Amino acid sequence: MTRKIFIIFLILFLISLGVIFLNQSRAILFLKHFSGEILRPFEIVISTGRNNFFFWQSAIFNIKSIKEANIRLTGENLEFYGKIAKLATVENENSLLREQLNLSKKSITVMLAAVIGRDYQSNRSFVIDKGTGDGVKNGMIVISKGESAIGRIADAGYNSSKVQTILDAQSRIVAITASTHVSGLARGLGSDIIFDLIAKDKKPETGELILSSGTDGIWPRGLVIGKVKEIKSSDNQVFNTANIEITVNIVEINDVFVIIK
Amino acid sequence: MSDDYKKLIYFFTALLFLFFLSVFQASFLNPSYWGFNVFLILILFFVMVKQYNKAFFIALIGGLFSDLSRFSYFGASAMALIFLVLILITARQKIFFTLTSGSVLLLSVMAIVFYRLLQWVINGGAAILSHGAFESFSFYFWSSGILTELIVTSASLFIIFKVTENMKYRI
Repeated sequence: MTRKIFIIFLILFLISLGVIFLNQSRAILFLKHFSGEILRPFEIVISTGRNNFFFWQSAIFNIKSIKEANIRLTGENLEFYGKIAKLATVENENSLLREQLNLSKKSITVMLAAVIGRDYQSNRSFVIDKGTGDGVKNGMIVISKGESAIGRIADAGYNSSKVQTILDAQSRIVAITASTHVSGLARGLGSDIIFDLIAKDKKPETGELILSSGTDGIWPRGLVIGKVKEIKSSDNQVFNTANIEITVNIVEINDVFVIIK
Repeated sequence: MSDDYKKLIYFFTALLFLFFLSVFQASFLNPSYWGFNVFLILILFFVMVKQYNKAFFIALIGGLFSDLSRFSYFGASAMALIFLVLILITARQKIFFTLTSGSVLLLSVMAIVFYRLLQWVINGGAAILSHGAFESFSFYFWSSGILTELIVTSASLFIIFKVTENMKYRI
């Protein structure tokens, strides 16, 4: 290897090291946000084009299964009409009972945001088209349909924000199982998520839902994290752990909700 | 026009090109199942044709642009790519003296494996230092993504060299 190549490598290596170490400095933050703001409109255009492209590609290649699904869903829809009628009655009863018991209704205000950029071959993070200009702040919770936990706002720019998903190794959620009420910590591993710190004498059931407990003061109570896939228990370990199957395929979501309050 | 102006124009055009490439990568390629890294392909190409300065330039700028849409340490991808360029140059100079189909394939495999390994080391190292957690090794290597990336990367390089076969970059 020539001396010149090694010198170039050394200079660039030191530059990248400097950028990593000065990650939170004003100059780097300004540069990141400024470049992010320029990227945003292009990302919106390309991600919209991509969504349309894949929608039509999927529609053309899966026309048979779409037809079959349509017939099945039409049948299911009729069943749901009956259930909706019953649900309306139950909701009325529920609100009356809440009034009698002086219980406040759980209400959250959300904002719809579109996913405009993603991490390379991982679901650790993505970029949404809402930023501080729309009322988004760092630390806000991001959910999907069905109140499934997706992640938190990690870096809010003026017009776009980066979301750190629950799969990221820095993600921690105090969680509880839905039916057996076993508490633990849902911890991201980068690709997967595990239910950790389960008391030795407690074992959740395979397939049961894991919800955020709300006791960490960060994640609201009752958000769906996933299902218990496999329980791991060993005599030489202090706690039991369980693998979690997340309910939402993060790579396939195009729209999310940011909890404003 | 003087050479200095020409160089400046080339520099800004290249910067703009890499900028749009990073948008395309983050908004089109990353959400799809055709997982491949355009910057890796460009770096491989320039290493193969012995344009090492260009490969280093793409590694730094491409890496920084990539990190704009990632929740990671800003600069981590750039560092991984710079190391990768050094590894590829060493391999090109010490092992792959001539450019054959076999060497294109082997360099592609090397690039993908080492890039993932470097990403794992840098991200894992940073994660351990900051909060004592690590990212699973299997996440970087035991997925169908690595196979797709390998096929698409080497196929793209073969196409590029085929297209440029009448030019100086001939296999």
